[in-house]
Amino acid sequence: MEEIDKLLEDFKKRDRRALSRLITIIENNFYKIQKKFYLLLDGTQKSYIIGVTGAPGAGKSSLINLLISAFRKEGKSVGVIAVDPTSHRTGGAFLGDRIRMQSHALDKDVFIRSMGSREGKGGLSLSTPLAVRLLDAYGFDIIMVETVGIGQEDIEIFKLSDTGLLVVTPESGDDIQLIKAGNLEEADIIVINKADREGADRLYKEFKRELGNVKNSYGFSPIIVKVSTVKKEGISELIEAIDIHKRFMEDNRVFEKKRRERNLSLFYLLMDYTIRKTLREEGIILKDIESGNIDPFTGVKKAMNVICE
Amino acid sequence: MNRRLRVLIAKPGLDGHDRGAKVIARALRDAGMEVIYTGLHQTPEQIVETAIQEDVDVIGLSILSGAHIPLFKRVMDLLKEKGAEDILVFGGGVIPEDDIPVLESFGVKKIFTPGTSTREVIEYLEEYFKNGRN
Ligand SMILES: Nc1nc2c(ncn2[C@@H]2O[C@H](COP(=O)(O)OP(=O)(O)O)[C@@H](O)[C@H]2O)c(=O)[nH]1
Ligand SMILES: [Mg+2]
Repeated sequence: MEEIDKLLEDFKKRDRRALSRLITIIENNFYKIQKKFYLLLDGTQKSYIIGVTGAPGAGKSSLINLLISAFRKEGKSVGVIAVDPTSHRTGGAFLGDRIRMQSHALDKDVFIRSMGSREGKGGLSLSTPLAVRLLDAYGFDIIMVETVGIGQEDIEIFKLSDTGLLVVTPESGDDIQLIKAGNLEEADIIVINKADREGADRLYKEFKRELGNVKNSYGFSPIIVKVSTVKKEGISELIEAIDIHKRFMEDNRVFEKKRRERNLSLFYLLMDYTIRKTLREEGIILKDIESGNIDPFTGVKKAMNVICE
Repeated sequence: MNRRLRVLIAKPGLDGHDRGAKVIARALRDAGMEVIYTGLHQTPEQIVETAIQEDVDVIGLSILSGAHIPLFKRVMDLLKEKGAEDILVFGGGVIPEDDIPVLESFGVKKIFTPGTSTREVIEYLEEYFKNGRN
């Protein structure tokens, strides 16, 4: 326990090692700091959170790399959480997003952390929102979260972000189908990356046509931006689009709404985690249900007693 | 304890291919580890800073360029400077037999010479961490 207190103290002094150790604890043994975690957060959420999702190879990491440079030019500090899929079979993960971002490795105002998706739904486990909260408490102006998203799962990351970017490319011909299926309406900005490749203009027009009159749940029409990270083109337009979205949210009181929803979703994740953890420790109820000794309904009653003790 | 080994595989130096590094990275992933891979031409400063941000248990350096002695020395010095000498460092690549004791004297725990199977590397790490992170 003393070790944890020391970590928390070091974190408050903005020690990077403490930050990175705490993220590991979040991922492995969150219960160890669960009771003290709120002490770190002091109630404020100041960072601007940008979610970046899209198919593998769409250029998300390359894009984040350029966005880091752009934000750093404005003097803003940047924290990045890059989530890559965990193999369900082995539990291992190949975390390669940093390859594109290593030019920022020695910048004291940039912190990049790779995470395996582990058992999280939609690429997001409890660890991701908690790590974002931690980066926020540490004081980064901007936090970017990269997740691999295919279809429906994208939504999870958009819920976590102030501005959600969906990265598509001219190669991935099925993206328009996804739009039509209505899965992507919560993206705030659609980034057509690899605009140096053939078909980008056609894709742009298609998106414009499909999304021209579409408004998301709070009345915002997604902005479509063409980018080429290899040619370093379109980045200032993207920054501008993020700004437009941010202003829209400020003008329409969407910010508070988003943050309230985020708190609620974190609450559910924490409840889920706490219940599972408590029941695993208690043990007997789970065994009884598994073996058929008690039915699930009786199980709930017993579990409520254990949890409320 | 629900922990997973985190390993940084890095390729310092100037030589231009990382096949060996990728092979070991994938093998460690398949053994259930989280492998952070940073690509070619990493400086010792980048490697150590990355290791800290990623809070890894292990750094594996793949070296072919022949400049292994100063590179390893610098990595080990920086780790000490940052109070991160608890991270296990191993190396792989074409390293002359005579240089191995020199590298070990810097605190490098293990050198795997060409021909080592990925299985051996995995077994070494699993054995080293069988009682958890130090
Ligand atoms: N032609 C082209 N290739 C790109 C562009 N952006 C990224 N790539 C390439 O796409 C591949 C995947 O990029 P990466 O950023 O790792 O994608 P991620 O998997 O979405 O994070 C790499 O080989 C990049 O060089 C672009 O604007 N144009
Ligand atoms: Mg990536």
